[in-house]
Amino acid sequence: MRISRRRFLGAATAAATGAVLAPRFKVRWARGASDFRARRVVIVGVGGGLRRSEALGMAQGATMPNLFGRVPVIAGYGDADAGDPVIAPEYAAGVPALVLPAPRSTPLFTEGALVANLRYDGGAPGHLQGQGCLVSGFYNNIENRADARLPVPTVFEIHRREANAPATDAWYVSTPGGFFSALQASDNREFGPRFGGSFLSPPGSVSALLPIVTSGVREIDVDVSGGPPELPIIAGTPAEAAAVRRLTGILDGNSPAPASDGAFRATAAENAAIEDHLAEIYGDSTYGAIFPDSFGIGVDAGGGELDATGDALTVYHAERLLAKFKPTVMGMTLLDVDLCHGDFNAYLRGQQIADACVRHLWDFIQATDGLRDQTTLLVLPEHGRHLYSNGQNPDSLGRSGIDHGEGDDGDRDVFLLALGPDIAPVGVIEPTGVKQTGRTSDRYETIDAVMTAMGMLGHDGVMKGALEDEGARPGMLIQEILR
Amino acid sequence: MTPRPRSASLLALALAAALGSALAACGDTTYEFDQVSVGDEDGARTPRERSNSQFVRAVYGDLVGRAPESYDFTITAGGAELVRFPVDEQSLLVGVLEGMGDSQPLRALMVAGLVASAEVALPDRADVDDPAGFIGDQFRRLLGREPSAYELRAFVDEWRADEAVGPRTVVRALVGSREYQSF
Repeated sequence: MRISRRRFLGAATAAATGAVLAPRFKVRWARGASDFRARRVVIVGVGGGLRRSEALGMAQGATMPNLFGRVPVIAGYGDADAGDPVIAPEYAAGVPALVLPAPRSTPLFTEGALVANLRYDGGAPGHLQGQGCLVSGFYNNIENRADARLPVPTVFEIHRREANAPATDAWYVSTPGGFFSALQASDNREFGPRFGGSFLSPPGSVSALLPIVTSGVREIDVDVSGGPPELPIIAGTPAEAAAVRRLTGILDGNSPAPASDGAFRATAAENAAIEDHLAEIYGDSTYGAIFPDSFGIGVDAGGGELDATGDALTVYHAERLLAKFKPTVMGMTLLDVDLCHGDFNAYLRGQQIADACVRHLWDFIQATDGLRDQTTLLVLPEHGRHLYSNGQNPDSLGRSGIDHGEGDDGDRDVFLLALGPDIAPVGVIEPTGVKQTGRTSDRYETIDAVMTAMGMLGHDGVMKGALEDEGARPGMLIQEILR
Repeated sequence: MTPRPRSASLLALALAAALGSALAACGDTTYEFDQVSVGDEDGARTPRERSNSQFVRAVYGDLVGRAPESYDFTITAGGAELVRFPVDEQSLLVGVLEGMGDSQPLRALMVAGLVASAEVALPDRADVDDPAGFIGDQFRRLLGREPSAYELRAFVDEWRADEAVGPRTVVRALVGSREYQSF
């Protein structure tokens, strides 16, 4: 296989800046789950804040055509073709073009349900708070710290405890790393890190620099005659890995476990399965396993080659995890759109990337045995963005950056796209008159999307109880989107 | 008051006595000191896991024989420089490890990469005439102790029974152990 010099350069320089599950694990399906066909739920949070006006109203052109088509799907934005995304010409001239597949002929919302008036009605419209809500159904104001913990259990913990599932059955895959790993597990006494989900941030952990740096080489020539260059890999065979684990087991059998530091720890068997998965990636001397051009979504690197964005890399590796472990629960955080703080045009491009990635993910699910017809996909912004711009980096069309966090309607009016075997193909709906003690929105809310996901796995009762124990208002099942 | 471990109490008394003597020489004032506890009598505290940063530094010191370094990495094509960028081994590797909630799988792969590098001079399996001696050397080098009779026998048995067991696997196993990864 031809080595891609540009891929290598891109990967390196950018970074510079259940197969083997323990047999004792046997997943139990919780009561009530048999009412649904779905056996898996993937919750994609479009992190960084995405407004309805751009995504659904297409006020700057059809930025998400795979999900919503080219005609605005909410009132107030007309009923004509919104056209292509409106990128300022001076911006377009200065950045590499996006590589995107041709949009679907019919948008995905037509195959499922689009709750166009969802409300993110509590908690700060901030990253960890919004994503925290998406993995717990709990409006919160936790701090942006790696040691922050939600007081209520995450969907990962609830599923793992209730189904006796291994850590490889519950994943949180995130474009941002760092403190986002805080969402693996809560500090709830009844749940906590021992039931946490596995966490992977591909932009940090899947890097060409790991084999390069550990190899000790400090110079590589990528243009050699007679074949591809020798790029560093992390070599090893399954037999060697098995031998290492046997020997380590001899030692660990007589060593005390380290004291708990409150962080998630997988078992040796779970980590072995994850290591094997990553070893396949790091054993590929073309580096195509880190991010292949065939993914087809990213930034044009010239010469027919492709550079990943954070979201493209994240979705690619989420798909690898789905294929390998077929987890029951996966949470995912995208973040490309958050460039909007200082770059409105990048916000629009980020929407295009997220749109293509979600479509790729759904196509992947439909093309994979064991995922197809068993997987529910929920896509929603973690929150929106302000109704006003911040003046940062104005373009020739009079647009500038937009922040989030103050909690105006731009921040809090969001949407939910739901696809899957239990989702009724109702298209766009905007239910009102949703009543619950303490609910003032009169609408469905973000917490309802999470509760609906847990309902499909039969865990809604446990989630409801855990939330009520903490004095929180639990979400409700969104009946209108269910078959 | 809870009885203090013997060694800790003795140390505290010695410190108090020494300090008291010195102070007594300074005047007539007398002082009373609370008894202090220093360490555990038998050292049987629960170990704590090394952080990713501590792990990277430890592995570089123990396997590579140096601290992580910063340098310029160069990519060339036919000898012509294409790009040069700075590499800080410590921060880059910690960054990779921090990309997982439980970094054990990536720690294992990092060590697998290092033991295969030119900087870590491990012999080939066929060049080791005395597996027990080699294994003992690695226990002393990496864990700071002799292998127990059980450990040595088990490692040697594995070496003899499985061609995949050799210098690299022994080192990877020791560095991957709870004992190495905690303090």
